[in-house]
Amino acid sequence: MNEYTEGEVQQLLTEDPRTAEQGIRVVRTDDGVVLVGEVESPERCAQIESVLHEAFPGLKVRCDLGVTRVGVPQEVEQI
Amino acid sequence: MSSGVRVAAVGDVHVDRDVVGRYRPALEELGDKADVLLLAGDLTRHGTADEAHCVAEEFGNLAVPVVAVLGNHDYHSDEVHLVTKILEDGGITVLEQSSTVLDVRGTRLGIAGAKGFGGGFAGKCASEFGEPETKAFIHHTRDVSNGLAAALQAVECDVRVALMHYSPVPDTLVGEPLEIYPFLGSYLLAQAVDSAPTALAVHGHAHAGTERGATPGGVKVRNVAHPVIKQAYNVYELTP
Repeated sequence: MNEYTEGEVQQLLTEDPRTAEQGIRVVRTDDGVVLVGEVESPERCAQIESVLHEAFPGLKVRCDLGVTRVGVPQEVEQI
Repeated sequence: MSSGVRVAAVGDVHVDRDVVGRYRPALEELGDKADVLLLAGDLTRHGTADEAHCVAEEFGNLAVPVVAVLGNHDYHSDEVHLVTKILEDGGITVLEQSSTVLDVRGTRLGIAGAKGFGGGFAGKCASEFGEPETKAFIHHTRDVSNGLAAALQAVECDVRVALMHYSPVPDTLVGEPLEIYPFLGSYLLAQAVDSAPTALAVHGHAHAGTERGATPGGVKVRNVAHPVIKQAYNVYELTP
């Protein structure tokens, strides 16, 4: 994947209404791209992968995306 | 509950139908954890009315007051007035260069909020110069920062919190690519925070940033973007 494709992937992740993600890091590899970051639901991981496969059918896309945890805080910071 | 004022905060929750219900178990415990919940912008994905209804459903009807500012995602569909109205109808106070005061066991907690904007940080920032587009960009940052300063200075309270979406300092951006810092915040926001005796400044927007920082005037800054804090909300205790 060249630098221009990397740019297009980044723009697509933000501007495609099905993804609208600005916080995902696109890491170029020898044979494709790895997406790294966190999203708000498992459905969004699948959607991102699907949108990229549709736009870049020949590109090998690996997703290293997690769903951000929503646990209850156990600590309080004194300011 | 201790005698200090406990402020819970989270930003960048990007709620749509697929997120409704995820935060709720943690939010149901808020009454035991905090006195107020601050939402630091990017409440929705695209700023639509439907998404705003989802935010109101997820973050409305809690045991504590909820105070929010909007973020850039919430502006995307050009429906800011409608989004704001839906949130307000759901019991969420939305600030934009304005303030609210809450009575917390006799202590007046003042919260002044604004979305903020970009431009960069002292000595390495854009200026109101050149093309109309560049001038408009920085003019907006200056306007919003001046509005936040005025709101912070005017609010009559015992303890004061500044709520923004964009960052006032570079400290809490560490982890983000340096190249995008000018799109993540502005030092003019820090100047606004430092113009009043502010106890805490809270922001979101920088998903890959760092939680802790401080303004040049020494006000503690916390980046509460959800991917940064990695839990439903953080809690900070302020002593008047």
